[in-house]
Amino acid sequence: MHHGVDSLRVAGVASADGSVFTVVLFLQSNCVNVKTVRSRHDKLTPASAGPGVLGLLTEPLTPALVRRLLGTVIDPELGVNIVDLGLVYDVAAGDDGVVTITMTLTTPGCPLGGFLDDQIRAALAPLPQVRAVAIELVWEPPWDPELMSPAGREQLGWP
Amino acid sequence: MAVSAVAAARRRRLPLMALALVALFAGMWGGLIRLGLANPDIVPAAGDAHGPLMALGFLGTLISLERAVALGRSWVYAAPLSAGLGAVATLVGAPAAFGPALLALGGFVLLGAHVVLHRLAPSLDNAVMGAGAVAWCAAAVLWLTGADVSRFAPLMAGFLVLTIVGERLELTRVAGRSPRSRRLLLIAVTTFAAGVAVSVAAERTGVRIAGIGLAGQALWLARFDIARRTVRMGGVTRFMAAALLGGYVWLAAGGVLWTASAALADGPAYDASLHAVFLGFVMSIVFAHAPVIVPAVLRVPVAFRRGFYAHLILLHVSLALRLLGGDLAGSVTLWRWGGVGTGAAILLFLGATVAGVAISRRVSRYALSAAPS
Repeated sequence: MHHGVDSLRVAGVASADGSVFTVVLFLQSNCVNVKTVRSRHDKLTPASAGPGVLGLLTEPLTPALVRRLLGTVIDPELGVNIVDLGLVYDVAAGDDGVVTITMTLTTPGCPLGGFLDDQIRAALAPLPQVRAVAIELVWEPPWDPELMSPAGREQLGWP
Repeated sequence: MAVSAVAAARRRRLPLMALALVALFAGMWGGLIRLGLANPDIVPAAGDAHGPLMALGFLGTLISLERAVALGRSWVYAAPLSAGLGAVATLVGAPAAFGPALLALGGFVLLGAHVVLHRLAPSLDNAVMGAGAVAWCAAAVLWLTGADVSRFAPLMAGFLVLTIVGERLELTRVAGRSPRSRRLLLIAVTTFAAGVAVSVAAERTGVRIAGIGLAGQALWLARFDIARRTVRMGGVTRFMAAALLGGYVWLAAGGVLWTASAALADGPAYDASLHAVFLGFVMSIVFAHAPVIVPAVLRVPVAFRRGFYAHLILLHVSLALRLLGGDLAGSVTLWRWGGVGTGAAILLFLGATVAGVAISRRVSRYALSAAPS
């Protein structure tokens, strides 16, 4: 641990346009500090990253908050996030800082489980409220296109 | 997965990925021998076994490794291990049956994995991929019995095309395609698979039928695949879609060539028929999926760079040069340049992928050092 820093969180974030940037959050004397490290093609800043990173840090840990961050985890082939794809079955989160995510993949033959596991952990890493993340992959009930959100369907050009 | 488990997974998978790369480099060396550009006395087996090394040694190892990662059961890792070792055995001049037998074993283990997947969740797309694994097994068994590579080349194409199209079939559900449109794709897939099966007994007839199936699948994919939609998005999603759509063009070309020429022996038509499918279609799809599959298998992020388009464009341009300038117009020089160009595209692809991993890592290291001390 760095001297004078109470806690340090690092998140690598890949945006939908393929750029990669890193957000460093650290707590110092009860103040939240944010530092963004950009790569050459970075077009995002924490302020434009979505719901506002600073606001997220002060909210109590709830399933809704976790779902908002899961909305930044994108299936790279489809360009649609895992919540809109209907892959997230259940989210449990509470004051103890433990997040449990129950999710599926479109098929058990899909090798992306580990990839999404890493992406989910990176997406939740900036939250100081999170102490532990457990991701459970289940096949019951099997994924069905009906589980996709209207937004997800529209993005993929459903008739 | 905890950090130590991720590291353990990486340690287990990295040697298998390395075996796939050995097969790839050997296959590429074999390609240079066949282009008349490499000394055939250095690793002589690579020239004769060019096709099996690329299709079963390299891609067989890679695809079965992917499936082992998906299924998460230790025994499935025997498939990439066996296939990779089969490629090495072929190279080092082990007793003739050794390489093909190990490659066949890899195919049978992969087939077993698809049986397990079927029990977990029966689906049509898994059945199509399973049929691909059957084609791998049949190809390797034919090779084991001493058949010429041209005899089982359609089966090797069967393995790869059915594996890829099975995955695309799965995505039709995400794309909201109607059951009627899925049935159309299934007709093309069945035609192709039937043609490949017939080719074992009646070579020319089988290849012609399979060609019709290839063209049908290409037309369906070019019209209905989700890549038509995702190519309008950005970043890595668009790159993947572009590589897929480029691959479909070559798949259609392969279908026409298979049906028109049904070439089964060395010559321009045979060269064009196989490389349209194996390089134009299959390698383009490998390029498309690498930015996702490498992180999934090795658990390291790959930063997408616009530079990735360089190896994709080089692949397609040099293949066009080879087929149009070399095979069609008869220029040996263009044929060779085209061949070298596709090899260079593969090297560039490997370099870009390694660079993508390095960039991701540098970004996170810099982030750590940028924190106040």
